[in-house]
Amino acid sequence: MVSNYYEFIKSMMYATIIGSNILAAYLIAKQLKVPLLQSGTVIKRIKAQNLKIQQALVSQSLEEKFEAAGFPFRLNAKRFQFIRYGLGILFFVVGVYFFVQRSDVSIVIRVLILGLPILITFDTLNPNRKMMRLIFRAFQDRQEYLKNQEFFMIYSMIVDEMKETSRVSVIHALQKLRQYAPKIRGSINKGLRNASLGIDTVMTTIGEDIGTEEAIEVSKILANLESSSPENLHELIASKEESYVAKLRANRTERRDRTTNIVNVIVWLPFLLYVLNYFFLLGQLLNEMTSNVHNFK
Amino acid sequence: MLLAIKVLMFVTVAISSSYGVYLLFKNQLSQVNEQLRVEKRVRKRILERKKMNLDMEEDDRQKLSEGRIERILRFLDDMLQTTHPRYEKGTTLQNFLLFHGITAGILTVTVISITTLFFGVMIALSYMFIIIIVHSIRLRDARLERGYKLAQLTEVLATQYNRMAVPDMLQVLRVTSTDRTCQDFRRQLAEIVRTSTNYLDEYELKEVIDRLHFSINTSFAKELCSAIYKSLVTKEFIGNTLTRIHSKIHRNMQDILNETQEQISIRNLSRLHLIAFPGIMIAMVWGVNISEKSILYFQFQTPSGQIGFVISVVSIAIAWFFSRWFTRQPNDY
Repeated sequence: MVSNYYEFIKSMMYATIIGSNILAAYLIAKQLKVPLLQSGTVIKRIKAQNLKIQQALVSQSLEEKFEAAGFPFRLNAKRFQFIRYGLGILFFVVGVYFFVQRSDVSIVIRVLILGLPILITFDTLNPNRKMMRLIFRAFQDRQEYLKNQEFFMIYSMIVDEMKETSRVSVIHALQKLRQYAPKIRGSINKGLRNASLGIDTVMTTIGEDIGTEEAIEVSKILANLESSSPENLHELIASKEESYVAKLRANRTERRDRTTNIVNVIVWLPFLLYVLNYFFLLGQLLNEMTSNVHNFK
Repeated sequence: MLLAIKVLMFVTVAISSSYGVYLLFKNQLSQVNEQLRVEKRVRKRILERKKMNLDMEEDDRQKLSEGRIERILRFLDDMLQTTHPRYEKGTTLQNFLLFHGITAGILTVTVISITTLFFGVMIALSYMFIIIIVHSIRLRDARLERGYKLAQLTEVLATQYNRMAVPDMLQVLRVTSTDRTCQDFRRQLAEIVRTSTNYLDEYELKEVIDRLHFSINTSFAKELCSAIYKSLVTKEFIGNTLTRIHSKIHRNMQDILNETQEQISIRNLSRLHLIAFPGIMIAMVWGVNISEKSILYFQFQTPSGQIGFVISVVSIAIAWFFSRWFTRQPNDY
């Protein structure tokens, strides 16, 4: 009776894991299914199909996510997808090998290894799930922080110049100062290309291309340079920067409260690990001793 | 003896025959190499032209063209300049790489000759991991300390600069680099002075000033570095910027002093692991003599013991890293 239950559970595990792998394969094939072209030579058709498959794999939205995160570790959408599916296939091959060849390993471990590729491709490394969303968010925050840092640096330098001489052309100053800000230099170049359309267009283009809240608002303030006096402008920008700094400080205290709990766990963890290690060693030692005693008997 | 002669013969035959094959295909190989070189050069030129059309600056193009290994070496060089007490250009980096490479090699070979290949590779990897952790903590500590000392540097710079009738940044830097209150920045400031008197390309000056920013890595340092660079190259007046940065740093330090709490308990706990892990081991080796085989045999000669050892060492290193990383606050926003 007991062995019957055992067989039943075993077959259910087999069915679940094989079924989920087949489902995963079906989902990937459905995503990559592209109708073949009807006209043209065979090579041309294959090339067109390959291009369409590439478009399906490397979507525009994923590339935008990587761009907002500042391409961490020199990764872009193509490389990321390659790593994701490559890891999945690697674990799948290892899982199939263990499933077919290594019947000496426990059934639970074999099923777990075969479940790993699905976990990796569809949950852990899936850009729409929680894990990757958190990672993207963290890198994007860091990137926005660096951009804002350079942005406030440039605008406070312009304001400092304004204290010296009352009339300063913002476009000229931006042209001169953009070399100190490598992160937002592309956005400034993009804005300066529209210099003939007036300062309003330039500043809105720069603010929208940088994309952070503070950049958009400060760009709006600077676009009204002609109508406002320099002292007034200086105060406006300084108040903006101060509110940004206050926000950063609030975020930092919140983050510290959050990380302190995690750090406590991490610092206590090795104690558990090496005590466990010594318990295993003691167990082996006792085992050895009892086997020796048994032999003498 | 006979076996040694046999092996020697095999080796000589292998070397001479492979050399013969190389001689046979020498011309073709050199042709292929030449083609590859030309192709690489053309591709590099195309990339450069593309960057130029996208309005990128000179230093960006140079930075993009440098390879991954060069980038890592430059990072290590900058790091050693910040952390090493007696830094010398070139030799310190060489010694660093040689020392750790040879130590890792000796450690791995010794471990492999005593135990197994698997354990040797694991030990080599964990050695590299620990070295990376230790040096990143050292770099962070140095940066934090210099971030707080930046207040003194800006004070000296602002007073010296605003006191002059005709402000000259080079003269100010020369005076500041010999000032007793700014001794930590002496090396970087002297390098800036030396470079700014005899540079050919502005990129050289920028690289040196980037090193000053690398050794502090806060937003104040970034503003200060770009102000210094601006005044050195264009001779514009930056007195207002210097005073503004100085007042901002002081205000920020006040805020940080108000909000930080010391977390000494976490640090002490992470130090306890460094004593407790080998301490328990020694106590068990001396005290537990119930079997013929020692406890060291089970720790280092069985695969489960080896994995347990590596996991505990790595987890202790990670705990030490986190306790050091999160207990102090940088002088930044």
